[in-house]
Amino acid sequence: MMGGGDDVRLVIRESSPVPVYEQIREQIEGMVRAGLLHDGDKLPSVRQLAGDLRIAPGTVAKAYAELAEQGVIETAPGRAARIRRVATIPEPLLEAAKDYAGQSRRLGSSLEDAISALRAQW
Amino acid sequence: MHLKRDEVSTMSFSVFGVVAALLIGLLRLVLVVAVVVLIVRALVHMNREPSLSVKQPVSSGGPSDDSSGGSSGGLMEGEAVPDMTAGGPMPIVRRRMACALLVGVAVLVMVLIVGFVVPKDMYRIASMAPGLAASAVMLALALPFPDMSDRLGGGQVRTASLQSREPWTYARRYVLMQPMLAAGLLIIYLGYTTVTASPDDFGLMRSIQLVAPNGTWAHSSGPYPGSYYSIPLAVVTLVLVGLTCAALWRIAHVPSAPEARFADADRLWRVLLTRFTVFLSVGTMLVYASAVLMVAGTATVRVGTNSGTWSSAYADDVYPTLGNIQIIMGGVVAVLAVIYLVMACSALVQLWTSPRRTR
Repeated sequence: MMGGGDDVRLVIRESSPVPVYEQIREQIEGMVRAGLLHDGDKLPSVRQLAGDLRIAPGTVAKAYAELAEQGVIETAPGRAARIRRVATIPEPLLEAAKDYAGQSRRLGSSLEDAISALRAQW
Repeated sequence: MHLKRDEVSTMSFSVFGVVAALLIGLLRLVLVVAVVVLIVRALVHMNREPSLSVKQPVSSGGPSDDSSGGSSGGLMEGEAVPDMTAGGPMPIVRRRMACALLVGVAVLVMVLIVGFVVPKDMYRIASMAPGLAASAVMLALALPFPDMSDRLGGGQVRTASLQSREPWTYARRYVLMQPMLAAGLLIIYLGYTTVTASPDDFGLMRSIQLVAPNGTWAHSSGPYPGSYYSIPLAVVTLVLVGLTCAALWRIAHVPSAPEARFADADRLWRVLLTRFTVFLSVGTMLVYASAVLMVAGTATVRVGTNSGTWSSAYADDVYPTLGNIQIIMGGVVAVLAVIYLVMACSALVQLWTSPRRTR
């Protein structure tokens, strides 16, 4: 996922073994927990997100349905999906992640390498 | 030859009067210019929102959306920022703009030709030409856009913004309301001219009549925007504002390019095209309003002065006053129309030139 500024962006990778709807669900949940999306923020419509990502609307609808089931978003017929209040990642951890991401980029690492290193240390 | 005291006094007063009249005239001119400048500044400020500025610096060095990974690589100081719009959605949007303008010009020419072919209704048909041409432009912008992903090679990695896109994402809400406001006011005024019109010698409602209280005489003057002109113009206005709304909706809902590097270009064209759509629509309706005011006002003055044969001491004086007010308002509205059309052209030029910046 890509964040920062006013434009928060989803990234999907066709080559990933993770299904597209799961990538969407994971990233939106991650953004909410990281504080990039806040309580009450409006998500794009299923049609808009599906059109932008060039995927079937049903894939986006499935991701939104799972997020609604988890209580991350609330949906209603004819209304845009909105973020619900959820527990966010503690601020010190977000700061540490920011430092780690910055250091990884300075060293020229890819996102996959950075995650692998973190997983190894975990 | 010596002048008598009275003659000197009279001459001094006359000179003083002339100077005073000149000063008053100059003051009036200064006031009119000041008012116009204030209106222009208000319009420019009102229709511009800092967050919608197209002069924001293009960002770079953000997280890469390329699956191959690697550092994103920054730019050196003084190095030109690559034109983020090159190869992006801009060529597609510019092509659509060019088509829309061509269609507008074609409709304008065709309607005028039809007017020449049907001389009986030439002026009525010609009066609809600008509105129909603008409607054709809006219709072209309201049609679905071609998919940008093939052109831009949306491949293994695709990104999308989580910002919900609506027409008010790209312009302030009260800017978006201006076409509806202009249409509403124009139709109300056309309603007024419709009810104040009278039948002419051919029985068509396109003149205005003044009848003596005792019915001994009646004078009429035209052309006047009675139902003969006002109904077609009202229909064209409704079509134009409907198609404007459709175009604004389409501009906001065209799927974005699936690559993050085109995010700025994507936003740029939506903001500029939204501005162009609103300003062209409002400008066209203001042109109509100006023309209707001036035509109605001129006919009203003529009928109130019996085509200028009555003296200015005409006791009633309502019609000439009303007519002159309409003519003056028509002039002011014409200035506003020019401003809006210039702003529409400015948005179009910005869309076409897509500036390249250096750091």
